[in-house]
Amino acid sequence: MWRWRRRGRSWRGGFPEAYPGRGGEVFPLLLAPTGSRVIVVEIDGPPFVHDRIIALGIVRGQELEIIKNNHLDFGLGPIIVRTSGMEIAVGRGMASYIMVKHEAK
Amino acid sequence: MRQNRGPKGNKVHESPRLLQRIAEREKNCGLRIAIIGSPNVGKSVLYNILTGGKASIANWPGSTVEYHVGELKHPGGKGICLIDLPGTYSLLPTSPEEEVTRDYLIYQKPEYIMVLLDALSPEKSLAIVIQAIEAFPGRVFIVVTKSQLAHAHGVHIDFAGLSKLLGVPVIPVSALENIGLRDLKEFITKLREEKPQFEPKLRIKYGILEDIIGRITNEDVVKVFSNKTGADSRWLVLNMLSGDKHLFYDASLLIGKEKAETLGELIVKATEEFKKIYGRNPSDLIIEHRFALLRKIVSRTVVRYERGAGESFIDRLFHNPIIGPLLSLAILLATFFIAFSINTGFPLNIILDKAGFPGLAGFIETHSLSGLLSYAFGLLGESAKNFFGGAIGSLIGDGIINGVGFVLSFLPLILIVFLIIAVLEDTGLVARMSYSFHHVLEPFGLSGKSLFPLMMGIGCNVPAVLSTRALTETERKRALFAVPFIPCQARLAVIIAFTAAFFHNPLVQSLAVLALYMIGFLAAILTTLLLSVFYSKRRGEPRKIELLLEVPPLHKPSWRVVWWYVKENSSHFLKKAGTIIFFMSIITWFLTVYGPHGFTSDASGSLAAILGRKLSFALKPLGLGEEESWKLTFALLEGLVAKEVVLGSLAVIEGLPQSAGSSILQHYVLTGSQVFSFLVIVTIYMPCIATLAAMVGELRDVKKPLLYLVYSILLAFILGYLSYFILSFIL
Repeated sequence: MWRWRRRGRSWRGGFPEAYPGRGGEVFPLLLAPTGSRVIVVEIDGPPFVHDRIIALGIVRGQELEIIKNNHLDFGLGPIIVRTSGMEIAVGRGMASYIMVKHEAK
Repeated sequence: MRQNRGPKGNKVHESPRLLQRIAEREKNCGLRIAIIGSPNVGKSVLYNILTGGKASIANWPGSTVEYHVGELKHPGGKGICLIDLPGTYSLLPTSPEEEVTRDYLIYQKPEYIMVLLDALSPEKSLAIVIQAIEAFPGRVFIVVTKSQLAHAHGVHIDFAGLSKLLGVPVIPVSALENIGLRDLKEFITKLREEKPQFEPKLRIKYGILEDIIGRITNEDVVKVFSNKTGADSRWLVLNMLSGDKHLFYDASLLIGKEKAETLGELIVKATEEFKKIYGRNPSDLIIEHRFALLRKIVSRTVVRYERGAGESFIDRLFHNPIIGPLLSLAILLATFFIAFSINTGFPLNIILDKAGFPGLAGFIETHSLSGLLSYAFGLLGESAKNFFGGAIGSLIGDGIINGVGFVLSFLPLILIVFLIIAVLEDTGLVARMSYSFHHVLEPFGLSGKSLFPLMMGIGCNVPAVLSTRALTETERKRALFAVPFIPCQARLAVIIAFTAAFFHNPLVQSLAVLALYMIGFLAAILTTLLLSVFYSKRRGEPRKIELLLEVPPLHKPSWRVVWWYVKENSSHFLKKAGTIIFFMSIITWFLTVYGPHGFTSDASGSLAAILGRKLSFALKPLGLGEEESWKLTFALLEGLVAKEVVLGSLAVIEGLPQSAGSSILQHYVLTGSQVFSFLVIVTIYMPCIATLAAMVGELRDVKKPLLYLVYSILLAFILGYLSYFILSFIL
């Protein structure tokens, strides 16, 4: 039950090696570069975070276009994604809960 | 088996059996509210939140196959049952599920019917709303779901206008973002207490069909059927004319086979007759008329915008984490500068004054909106006072007219500020400012959305408190308690008068003003920090507010949408805060003109002055003399009404006209550090009545604002003493 919390915290000081997504196909939205297109694989996080993300239509299998990833480009600021005609600013904390993979070419 | 089937061959016998099961479950229900709406409207989500139940949320149409009956989860919600009915696009059933919904409404006759309207696609979900109002007038109210999301999709809905047009209450909610839910729950609990009958204004004229409808509606059979079902007889006739054969089956169950047959004959005959004369099917006509009305409602209350492709130039600016926040600040300060100049002349009057045009500055100040209003009410109050004379004259002149004038003098400011918010909000700029500013406010336990209320606080705390409504519940409490520390224009007037009177170097003056603003903002941030660290931890709320914000398409403001926003919010302010401000100003009037020996025109003998003397120990640590300390305490007490009164009340004690300005202060002997620490106290010590009233109205709670009052007074005096201590060392 407390798994998300430990995870969320350990990400604050950089991405841990132990996490299987590193270098693999699945990674958090936080690390998706500007201009890329990704597919949502899983949504992590506590219930209130989870529900808010799903309410905006970011569900498993949803395709996201990253308009701007300020985290990678500047080290601060939100990630702007576009999905099904809607633009969403995702804070860095939230973005670390959304697991994505690159679209198959 | 055949006799158990309805005319269409559906297994309708299942409905009555289900209904029986439901009736057993409803034994303890004092008030039943049926929830209906089109599929995917968000019914299950809302139902689960309202009842605290744990049904799953599925994503395909008609996810609710069975009935759900649950009790409202809210204090005072015991005995209020919510009935979640299967989703349906129409009350003219086409599937067994939709039959169940319709049957429930006419067999069980719930006291109220909550119809859900999808804010994302109002066109699709309005049909059921219209039919429900036609069928059960007086018992239907509308809840708009996903209202928060609509803006992100470029959809604007005028909720107040919709309510007025249809004549039924409309409550916008956003279930997952926890917005409007409390309003809805309170509305429902109120329903049980008051049992109001709504008066829908909706009445569709069916043109050439009216003749037949009127004739059949007057038949006794229809009236009996209407009484049995609780549905409007006109709607029953319409549905039967539309070809709802299942309704005859219901009729045979409810009013007996014989009467049902006569009813059937009547309808069939009328339909044949109509077809012969006009060559058209009545059901087509009915649908056409309903859709014509639907289109009319949508065109009047809904505005839509489409999003352009790609990243626009403005978006690119806001996406930059350094240019974005600066641009946001610039836009906010510029718009507030214009608004406040129109309203009170500030800060244009001060700039002109300093630039060497004192005449022009004075002109702007007296010809601003609130200047003109206060002049008018001053004259009115004065003449009323002279006309009646004595205590009654004072009550009417100083108490009532002043109180009304005070509420009204807020109105232009509130209107202008709401106009600015509406324009910024409608164009989609607020969302962009919010996310670009998020990382600046994040460490203090706020999200970027709080930028707006905080900046607005510089103008006036009252609309700032009201504008926290857009925030989530957790963040809102933090922002709500931070906003009153931001020095507003009223406090600026006091600050400027004092600094002008006691500091003669303009550089020192401006430094002092700047320092006071910094202290105000620091107090605000300190409060949010304290709340986010201690209060939230106890309640299990997150310390940091995560940002997840829908960004609406950028477009030119639509004046219709702006007007809806301004109208709704300012009337809300007048109703809620206005009454409290009015009564509080009468109480303060009483305290100022009544002494221990009854009515007195000498302010220094009044109850307030006595209270000031009693409380003057609070200012003793500043090293003030006996005389100064009680007078300043008295001024602080009076400042509760509005911070600018601090100055005016000093004038009253000295027997000078209120417009004397900083020359009032010439009678006082104060050192620089005393003046500064007094100003720190004035800035922070408590929100004015109007702000406090707005806080009470917004929190719907008296305890928290009162607790906050104590906190702010303590904080003010601690900071005041501290600054006196530090300054007397330095100077």
